[in-house]
Amino acid sequence: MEWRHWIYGLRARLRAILGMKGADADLDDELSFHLEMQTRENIQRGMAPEEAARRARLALGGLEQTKERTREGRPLHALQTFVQDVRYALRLIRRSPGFALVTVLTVALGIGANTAIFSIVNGVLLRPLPYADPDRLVRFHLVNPAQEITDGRLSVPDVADWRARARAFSAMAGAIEVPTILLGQGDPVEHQAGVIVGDLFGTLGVGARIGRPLNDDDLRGALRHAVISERLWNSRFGRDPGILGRTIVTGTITSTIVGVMPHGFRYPTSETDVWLPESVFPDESFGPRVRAQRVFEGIARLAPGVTLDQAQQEVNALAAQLAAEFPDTNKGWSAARLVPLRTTIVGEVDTALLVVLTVVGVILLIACANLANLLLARGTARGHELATRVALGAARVRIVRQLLTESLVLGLLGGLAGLALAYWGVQSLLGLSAGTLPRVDDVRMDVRVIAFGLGLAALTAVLFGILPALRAAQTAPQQRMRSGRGSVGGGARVRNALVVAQVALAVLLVIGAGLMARSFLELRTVNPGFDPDRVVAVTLQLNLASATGDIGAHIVQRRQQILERISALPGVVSAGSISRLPLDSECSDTLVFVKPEGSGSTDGAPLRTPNCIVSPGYLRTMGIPLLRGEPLPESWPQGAPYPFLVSEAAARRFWPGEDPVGQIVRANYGGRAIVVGVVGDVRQNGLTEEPPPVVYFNHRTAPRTLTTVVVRTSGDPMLLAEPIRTAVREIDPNQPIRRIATLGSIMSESIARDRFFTLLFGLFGGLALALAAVGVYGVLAYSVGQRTQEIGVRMALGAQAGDVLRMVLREGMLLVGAGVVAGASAAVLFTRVLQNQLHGISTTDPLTFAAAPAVLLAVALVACYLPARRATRVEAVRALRAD
Amino acid sequence: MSKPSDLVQGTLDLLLLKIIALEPQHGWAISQRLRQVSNDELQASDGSIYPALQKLELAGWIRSEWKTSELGRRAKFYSLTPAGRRRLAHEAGEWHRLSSAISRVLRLEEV
Repeated sequence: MEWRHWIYGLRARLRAILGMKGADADLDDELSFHLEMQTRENIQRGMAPEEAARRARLALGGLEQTKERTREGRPLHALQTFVQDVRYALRLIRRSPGFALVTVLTVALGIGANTAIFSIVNGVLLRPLPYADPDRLVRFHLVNPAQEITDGRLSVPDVADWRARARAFSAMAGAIEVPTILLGQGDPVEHQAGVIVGDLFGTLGVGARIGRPLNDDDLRGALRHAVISERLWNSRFGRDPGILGRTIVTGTITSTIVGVMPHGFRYPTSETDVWLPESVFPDESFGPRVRAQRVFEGIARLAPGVTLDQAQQEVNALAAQLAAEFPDTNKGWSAARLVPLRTTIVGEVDTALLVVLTVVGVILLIACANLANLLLARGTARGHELATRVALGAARVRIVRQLLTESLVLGLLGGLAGLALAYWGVQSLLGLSAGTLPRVDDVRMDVRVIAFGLGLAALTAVLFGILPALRAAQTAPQQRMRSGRGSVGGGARVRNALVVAQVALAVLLVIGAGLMARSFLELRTVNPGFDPDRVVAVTLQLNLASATGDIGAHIVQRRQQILERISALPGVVSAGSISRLPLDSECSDTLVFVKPEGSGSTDGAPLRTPNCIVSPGYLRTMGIPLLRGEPLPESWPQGAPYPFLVSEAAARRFWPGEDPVGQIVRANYGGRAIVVGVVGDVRQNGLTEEPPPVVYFNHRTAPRTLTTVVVRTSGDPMLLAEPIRTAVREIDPNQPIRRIATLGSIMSESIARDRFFTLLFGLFGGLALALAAVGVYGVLAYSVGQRTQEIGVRMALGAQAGDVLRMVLREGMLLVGAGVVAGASAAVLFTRVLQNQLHGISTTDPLTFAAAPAVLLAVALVACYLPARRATRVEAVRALRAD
Repeated sequence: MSKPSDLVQGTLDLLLLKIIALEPQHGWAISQRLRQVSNDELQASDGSIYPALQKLELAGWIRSEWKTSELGRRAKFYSLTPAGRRRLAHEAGEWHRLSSAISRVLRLEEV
């Protein structure tokens, strides 16, 4: 292309772009000149002036059409049209602010709910874990098929074996979280230590923020090196830049700090504040370092190019090989199980969160139905305006585009309001979730969340705008203009279908919310197996720093001392202790035992059962009933079998059809033990789980440093909190208390996640109900408005107010009824996804399936009644005159 | 509004360039000329020349200026640019080649 040629075109192009108004005026002048000339010509041919002008316009092919087609040929025409449409849309919003407000608010509610939930899903499920290549990380579980253990842990020699042999892993480690008491630098405080074996930091691929992480040399333990969290560096060391080389005292162990981990590094748990090599601990801390002592949770990084399946095959083969090689310790541990790390962290909540995300999506659909109906009604009202524009030459595509632009402007305004709502909503939701969601630190409004919200708003706008826009542009202009404001017959069918659909969706959500609520109520009435009333629980990790000599004896004595001091406080009815409080976690110990020959069904294979280590006063304090036999004695003769209690479930499992009292078993520690009594079942592992079989041994048999003292009081249990603290401090000023809380609050906390999700479902079910009610009301009110004339005629012909009321109600309730039936049928299919969230009721709980539709029908009846009553007030004469 | 058929659409540019090449003209005169020379065979409305003229102007083949018309009324006159002249020669050549090729084919069929 030659430059002069380009210049000529450029001039015209610039004028078309810059001088929009000029170009338009030019075109107007040019075309009117054309018409003038043609009219003149026509008159010269002998036509009457009016006819001549008409013919001229006809020959031109329409003045506006010609202009429009010429404009379309200009550069940036599409953009100009869009800007024009947006301006027009904004003008319309100013002209009908009520309509705009309703639309924007509806969109904002829908987008707000969706964005809030999405930002949680984004943080909890979508954001990558803060490790290098987190997808290559797997949890490693040993599997013992015979004992039905699928999440077995690893011993120190195990980790060494696997590190040396497994070629599917590029790195491997084991870790366990251990409560520890930090001494020095201020008050003694309990912190969680990550005790590691193997190359944990290499496996996770995370470097230190300051200094370095622990390496293999540190792990040999001679140097006593430690790494601390950023949080601890902050709280305990005042962000000392010279932190490296300072010492940290954890219980009885003093280590040198060689590194500070970056913010957000949390492994094995989010509580971990200090990392220590396993080798710095004295032998007895984790039992002897032998293969059978399996306490470490395994984690491994898949080697490059190795798939999960390949790795799984290799570890199974290796486990079998090790079982053959070390029959004494590895017999039965013939397999291993690899689980992607992500699954183990978010596995529990992902279905629940995704269900909630679906729920808010459905709410958005209901909101769309409302808005589509609103726009359809408005489209009918604006019919005249649009018909005029079509008649004046606007192309239908142009009308559709303009109406869609209007929806888009409203949708995006709603989207922005929705983002603000979501920002506020997420804070509130996280507040409500009260620590029941993992990774909440990662929840924030990032670019992805904002893009999601605005994108969804645009999609919503198209969804609710397209149908009304198409309908509005479809109708022939003559019909519209002739009928004036009049209705368009087919529109009613679309509106009715939308109402049925939104009622159905609302029923679905209300049933879901009802099921969750019912389940939660069931959960609240579940008998935990103990009486939580007026009981306070004091959890502490015993400080061993001042221990001398036999640590076991020290623990027993110290615990006894604390128990006695607390029991002596005024207002205390009784006190007892347990190694792990029910609902908090499983029993601390496992009893492995064999029943003597000839006592029923025994094949000599060892049996396993959770073992709770308690003081005799524990069962009495908790109100756990003794069903048969004797309570746990304080002491027993030297050499006699250890006395223990069994729960009802354990009695049923191990002595079916027999009386276990008086039975003697051989226990894993080599001694014998005798069942002295049977006690009631307790939901040890949480209210949602059936009571497991449990045995109770006297705490003298197994000193455990973590202990919870339960205290039954005569008055308000929390009034004792301060006296208890003082008592503990008097015994050992370096003894921190992890938690003092009533059993009631601990129970309530244990179902916090269920409460959270029930609340979410309730909230969104209510929102769906309200939106559907507004939808029903809107459509019916509109229909009544359209039929004013008809109703007037009926009343003039003698119809009574009651007849009219019934007619309108019937119209509305027929739609609602159809929606309810459809929604309830869909619910039968879809509530199955709630299976894992529901406790104690079925997913087709008849009560819920009856109550939810009833609630919806009642609300819909009110929504129908309001327009129906207005219909009865129609005055025949005025109605006939209307229009 | 009737649109020119596809064949006409393709050749409308050529016809407009040719008409303007004879002498600078305003839109109405061009449309009259177009009707005349084509014996009303072109089923196009008069208005369809304006988007086409705009296209030619944007492409740099014609330019426009407001001048006083024969009746003393200001009108927009279109004239050919040098590039337009070359374009016309090129297009006309193409058209001749194409039409004679088609003619040959049609004669072939008659044999």
